[in-house]
Amino acid sequence: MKSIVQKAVLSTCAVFVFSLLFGAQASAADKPFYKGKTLKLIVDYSAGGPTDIECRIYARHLKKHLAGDPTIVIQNRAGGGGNLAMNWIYERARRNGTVMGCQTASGRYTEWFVGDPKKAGLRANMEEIIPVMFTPVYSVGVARTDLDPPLKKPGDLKNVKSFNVGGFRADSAKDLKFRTLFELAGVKFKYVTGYQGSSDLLSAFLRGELDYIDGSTPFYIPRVKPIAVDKGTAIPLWHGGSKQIPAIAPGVPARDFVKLLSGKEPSGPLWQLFQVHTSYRQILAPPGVPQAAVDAIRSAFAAMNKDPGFRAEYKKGVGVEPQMLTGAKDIQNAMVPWKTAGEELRKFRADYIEEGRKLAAKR
Amino acid sequence: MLEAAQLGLQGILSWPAFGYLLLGISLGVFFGMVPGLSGLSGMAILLPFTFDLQPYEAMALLMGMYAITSTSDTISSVLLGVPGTAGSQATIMDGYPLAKKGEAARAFGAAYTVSGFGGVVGAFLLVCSIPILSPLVLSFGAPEFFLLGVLGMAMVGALSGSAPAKGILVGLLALQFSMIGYSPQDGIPRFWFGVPYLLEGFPIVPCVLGLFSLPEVVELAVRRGTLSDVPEMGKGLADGVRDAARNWWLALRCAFIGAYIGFIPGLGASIVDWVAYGHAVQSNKDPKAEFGKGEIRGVIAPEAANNAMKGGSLIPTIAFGIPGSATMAILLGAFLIHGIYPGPELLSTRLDVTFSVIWALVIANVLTAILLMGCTNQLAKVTTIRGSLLIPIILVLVFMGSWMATQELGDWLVLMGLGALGYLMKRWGWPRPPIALGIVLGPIMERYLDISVSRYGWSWLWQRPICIILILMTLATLYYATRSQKRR
Amino acid sequence: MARRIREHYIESLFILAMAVMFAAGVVTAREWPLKSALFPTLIGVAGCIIAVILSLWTGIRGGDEKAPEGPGGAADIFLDVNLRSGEALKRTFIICGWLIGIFVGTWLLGQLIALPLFVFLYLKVGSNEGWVLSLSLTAAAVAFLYGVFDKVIHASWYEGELFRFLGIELF
Repeated sequence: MKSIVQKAVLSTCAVFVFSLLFGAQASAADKPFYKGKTLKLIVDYSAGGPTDIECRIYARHLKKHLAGDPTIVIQNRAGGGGNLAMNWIYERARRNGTVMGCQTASGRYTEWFVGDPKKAGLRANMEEIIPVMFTPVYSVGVARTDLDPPLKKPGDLKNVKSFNVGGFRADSAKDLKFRTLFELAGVKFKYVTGYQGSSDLLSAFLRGELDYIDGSTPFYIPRVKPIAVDKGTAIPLWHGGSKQIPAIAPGVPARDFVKLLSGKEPSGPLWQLFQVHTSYRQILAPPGVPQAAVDAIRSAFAAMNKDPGFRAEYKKGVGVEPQMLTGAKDIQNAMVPWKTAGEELRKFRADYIEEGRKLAAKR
Repeated sequence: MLEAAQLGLQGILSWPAFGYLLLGISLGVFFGMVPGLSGLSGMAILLPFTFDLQPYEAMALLMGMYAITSTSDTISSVLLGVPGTAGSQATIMDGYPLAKKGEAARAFGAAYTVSGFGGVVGAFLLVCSIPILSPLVLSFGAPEFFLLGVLGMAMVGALSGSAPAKGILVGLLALQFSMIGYSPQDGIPRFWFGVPYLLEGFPIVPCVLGLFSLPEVVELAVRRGTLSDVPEMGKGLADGVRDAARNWWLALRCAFIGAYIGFIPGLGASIVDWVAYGHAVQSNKDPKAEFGKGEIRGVIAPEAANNAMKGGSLIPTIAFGIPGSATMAILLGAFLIHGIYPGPELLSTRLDVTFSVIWALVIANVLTAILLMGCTNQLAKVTTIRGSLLIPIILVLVFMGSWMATQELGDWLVLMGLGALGYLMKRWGWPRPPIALGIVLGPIMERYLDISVSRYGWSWLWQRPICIILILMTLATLYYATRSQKRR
Repeated sequence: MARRIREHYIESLFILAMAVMFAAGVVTAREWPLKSALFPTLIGVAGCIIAVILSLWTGIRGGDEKAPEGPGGAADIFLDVNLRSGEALKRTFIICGWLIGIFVGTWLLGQLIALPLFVFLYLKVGSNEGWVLSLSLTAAAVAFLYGVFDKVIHASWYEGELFRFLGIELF
């Protein structure tokens, strides 16, 4: 008798405990990943820059679309051209989904796959970092019209006598991009580098110190276009998109720009080098973050991408329509140029940077 | 233009915009007062909240906060010897000694008066320059930037007191520090010893806190007792206001210096106070004045300049969308979010928005000066608190202030390393201000000299009128510096 | 004045160390391309020369007899206060110990624990303040750090190596 009672009590207890555990688990599965949590987005540039502004717009709208209504916090960790933030995410950030990067880290990928990460101070292994969301950032190249002879359309660049082109540094993505592009197109230019940021370039451009600058669409559309292009003192030459963009007319896609000026389809290592420097705003997670977190963020961005309120605000702040890549496959496709680059391009890039340093040293 | 001015004023004074202005002011007092927080952190936090506001309300909130951090930063500079923001480094040179002499209230009276005055002058200059904004900003190219850096370094002479050789050596040391990190053209990492923290160079805030504030903490700990030996009588505020009025000409000159430095993108807040301070030292004719030991003019000059700078810094942002600092970049972001494009639009169809910004600047500066004067007597009592209670408070502020630079332990190593250096320099009577100047100006000089030569050759030295003026000003500064050295 | 007379040798050595640093900078810069090397070389050469001269000058001539005037020049704190120099030196070492303590404490425990702990220990142990005062100021420090820097500014705290080692996630 006793044993039956014992058994009964035990089994009731077991059922109770089991149901408690199971019930808890079941409710955990129902509960959204970010319920009651704080999501920290680490921005790799200082407050006020294009990356920061874009990430703040994300943060504002992400709250609405991320199930569980988490608190979303922006933290700026500027420095080392983005390396400090990337190293921090890789080495120190919590790997539980509460910390992610909101960055323009395409430069980190380029450095890792075709550069010299050790020399640049990049310790994060970019192959381990989880890419959660990519949004392409297009560059736009602009030239002054008061050249000799005056510039009316991109094709006129062929005959221009003196063409001062401004950049940041011989090893920066910006400089490498316009150098490869102009070399492919056969445009002769004087390379003036060392400017501190897009604003510094813009002011040099407006006062005629430079004849050409480029920058991303959030720089071009609200800042360069109204002040220079709409007034007729400058025209856009090329942009990083693959199709015509009305707001950047008469600028043409980079591929067409090369064809227009050289008559040839771009190819070879120079073109490959141009392509590995395509820029993205990205949400990145440290390795080991639960898949549930990655999925939650991806679906939130996918929903945001369709939200007209978000799209309107994004367009105001960034200048173009958002084009978010939230599918794992799309993101992998975007990473193909990096992953297929290989050692040859790494060496080519290093030599090309060295060549750029010599070019800039020429008076 | 008058119509736009009136429209802008109405916009700012209407409810709820005025409420946002008051909110901005109270936040600004806080952000300015706490070392390590500044208009920049305030702007970054407030920006997302402005997305839902109307343009006038957004401008009222942001400008109310931004305009006056350079008024309230005086509080910690004078009372604790810890600069509240990078713009009030020079204020501690004489403000803190004044507090030690029991004259904190006087320092505040003078500082608030000229802060309000400087802010209004800065706004006024902004209005006056609207018709000539374009040529004004565009006349400054790479050669002018380089020569401005040289002119700034020439101030080392004025800031070196009676030890010119040491001053020059310290200036060179600072320039060498400023070379740490990527070189501007080649992107060669220099003096970084494999430490990624060093790749971006030395952050200015931990440097300044280490150089100037830590030695004071050490001294307070050794001396014990209270900060001020004189019991604070709660008077002196009126004296300070009178001091400010008596030195109106100096305040006006420094306000001009501030506005002018502010409008040149990139020079920014960290040197404006030093240049004004150097100017006050150099133009001083009073043989009794003892700068560095509690001379009221040493407070008036930087405080007038750093508020006036705010107005000046708006010029390139509004006229060309070229923000001169990270703070201005955020303001630009706020403009863009509200669909207001800088440049022609802000100077024509949306001139009323520009005026709302200017009015917010004026009203915030005047209101804050009055408001803070009301609290002075309470605040001045801090100087009578025992050192043993003050030290932990100051240290928490100093360490957190440094931490906000890059939020890495490296910030604290810089703080403590420079603290040790600052302590030795103070002990041996070495001038410390050249360090701040060198760290800020070194990269500017290197960058723009190279761009100048690469773009123009050397002809700019004699072909560009502003360059010639700047060279003459540098020579004059050096001449006065050597002459006043001889006099000593 | 006796201290100053001995101390100028230390000062002279200090300047000499600066000269060595400048020289090392010039040597390092030789590996860089001209543009990157120009400024460090010019500064290094000038700095090295001035530092060597100044070092000899200070060593031979001795320190300045009176405290220098003007901005930056401040009176020697050992002359400033009526203290035996031994006591002043001791207090200097004590405060430096606290500074290093903050650093090590943060490295081990993170700011959110180390800074309030420092405030409390400094008040209670370091300066013999009462319990009420020590605890209330510590509470104020916690409120300030947590309320302002954590909740409003969203500062990124150092986590503390101890907790990382133990795998504890505190904040």
